[in-house]
Amino acid sequence: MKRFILLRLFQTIPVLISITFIAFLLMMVTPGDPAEINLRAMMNTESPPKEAIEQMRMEMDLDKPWYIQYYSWLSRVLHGDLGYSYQTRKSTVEEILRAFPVTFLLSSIAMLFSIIIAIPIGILAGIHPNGKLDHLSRGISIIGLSIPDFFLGILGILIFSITLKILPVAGYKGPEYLILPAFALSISLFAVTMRLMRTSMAEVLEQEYIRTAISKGLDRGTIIRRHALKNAIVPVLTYMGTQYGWLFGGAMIIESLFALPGMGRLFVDAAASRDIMVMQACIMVFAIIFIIINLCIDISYYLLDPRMRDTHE
Amino acid sequence: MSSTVYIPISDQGFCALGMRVLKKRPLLVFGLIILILMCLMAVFAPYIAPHDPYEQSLENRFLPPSTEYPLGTDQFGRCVLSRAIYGSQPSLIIAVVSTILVVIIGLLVGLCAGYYRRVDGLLMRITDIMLAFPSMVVTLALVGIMGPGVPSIILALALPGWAKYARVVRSSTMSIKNRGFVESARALGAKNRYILFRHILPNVLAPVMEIATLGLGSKIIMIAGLGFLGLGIQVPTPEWGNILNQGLPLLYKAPLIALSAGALIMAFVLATNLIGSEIRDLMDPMSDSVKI
Repeated sequence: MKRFILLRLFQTIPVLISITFIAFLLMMVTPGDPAEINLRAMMNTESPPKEAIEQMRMEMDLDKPWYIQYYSWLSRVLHGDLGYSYQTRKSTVEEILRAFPVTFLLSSIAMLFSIIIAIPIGILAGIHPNGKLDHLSRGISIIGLSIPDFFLGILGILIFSITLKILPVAGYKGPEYLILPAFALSISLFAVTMRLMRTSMAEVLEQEYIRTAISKGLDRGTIIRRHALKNAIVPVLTYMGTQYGWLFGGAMIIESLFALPGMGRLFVDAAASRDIMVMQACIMVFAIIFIIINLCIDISYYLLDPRMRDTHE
Repeated sequence: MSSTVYIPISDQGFCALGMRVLKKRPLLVFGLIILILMCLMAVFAPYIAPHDPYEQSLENRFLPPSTEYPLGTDQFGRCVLSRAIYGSQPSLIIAVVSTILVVIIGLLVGLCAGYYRRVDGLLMRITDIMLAFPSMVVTLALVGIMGPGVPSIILALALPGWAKYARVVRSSTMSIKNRGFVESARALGAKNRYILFRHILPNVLAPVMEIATLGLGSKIIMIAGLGFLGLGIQVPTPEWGNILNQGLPLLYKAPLIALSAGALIMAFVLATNLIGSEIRDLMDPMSDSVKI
């Protein structure tokens, strides 16, 4: 167990290194002097003196060859120094810490929507394949996969905010401001989860051990709850796990649409104004979340499926 | 979306396949019809659109739908329907070109990785890194660096997109290269390159076609997303994304601006989703994986 986790952690090191390298490259190819940006923020002036910039460039090793630049940049990053935002002159870490909880909450609520609505519908559709609910859910998922999340968001604003006036339009002043964006964000996950649950349930119900349970005379409810559901839900939950990273990184347009101050909006604003160090930090955060999620999924596979253990020990 | 093992359809005639499709696959035909109509709309936009999409007139601002302006007019008095029709042009061109680019890169990387053991490790590690980012993040970063414009959008869509294709092509290549017909070609003295392009390539095209049609739809969404964020095609050129962006503050007054562009995006993506999932069914009728 320990050995497997250590091995898996070890495997993430090259990926982490290449991600930091890509983030570093981004800074190299983007016009703009990091030393000047940092000084502008630290001295709080629009144009810091030339000598100070030269001094700063020396301190940041910006006059050295690229591999030394990379090394000194990486050591700054590891010490928690991600530079400053060009636009707001705040430290990048501060910006990330402010934005992270919003996106975390948004993507978690989106995930929750899928769990509490899509999974039950999927189960019912799987119990009665080709029934009315099955056809309905198939139709919903075809439309759900075809509608861009931001257009669903616009439709939501039009229906719930403008016509019915029951939800706020945009901004972030309380939890009710997250309902529409989270719903819009979850739509494609919702659609796939529903179909996956349906297929998985229908497949499990065809298996021998279910037939055994039926012939033993157990009632249908018990079979579905105690025997079928346990096995059917595993692939659905692991799929949803892998999609969490996509929700987190995919919230950019939704956050901009609903004016939520999250990671996605921070990243979009940074990309639009070439705010290098904020872009760098966002990319690294997105990638690290991806890596952590994949790590968790691998470990949970290991814990759930005994067959995995044999191949690793 | 899911990793399925693909069975190539090399031993099936394409004519016979075509007939079977018409009879048994109404959804596929429906999807194809929408797709073809959309393409025709983009090509013949000047003949279909009732008005010039750039023509402004201040006395015709915010007109309700009428026979003259079927979907009304926007804040500059421009015809909403004409702008939505013309909006298909940049989206479709960029989506098609970037998909072709992605397919070519993905095919080359996948074929090499699957066929030549020596480069497999390196190429797949690069692929893994590409897959470690949500593609929209990479696209946005690239557009941010290169600035908005058609070439930079195409490049920004193509660079993160090929990894998925490379994965699929690699696994198909690996299973095909040990088949009898490849062995016999090799025994007859065929060179590696000949085997790759004449024997293996045609057999990996089917799964590639499936993800390429699905990819076409997701690229349309990404292009519209960029336009919506103001980083895609710039106004006044009509494009679905920037029409949505412009229509957003006007939702109270003229909801048809946003609705027209959104509905067209949806129709296009619906068509590609239907076609893609039907192709998957055709290739592998036994698979019951995430069917939509």
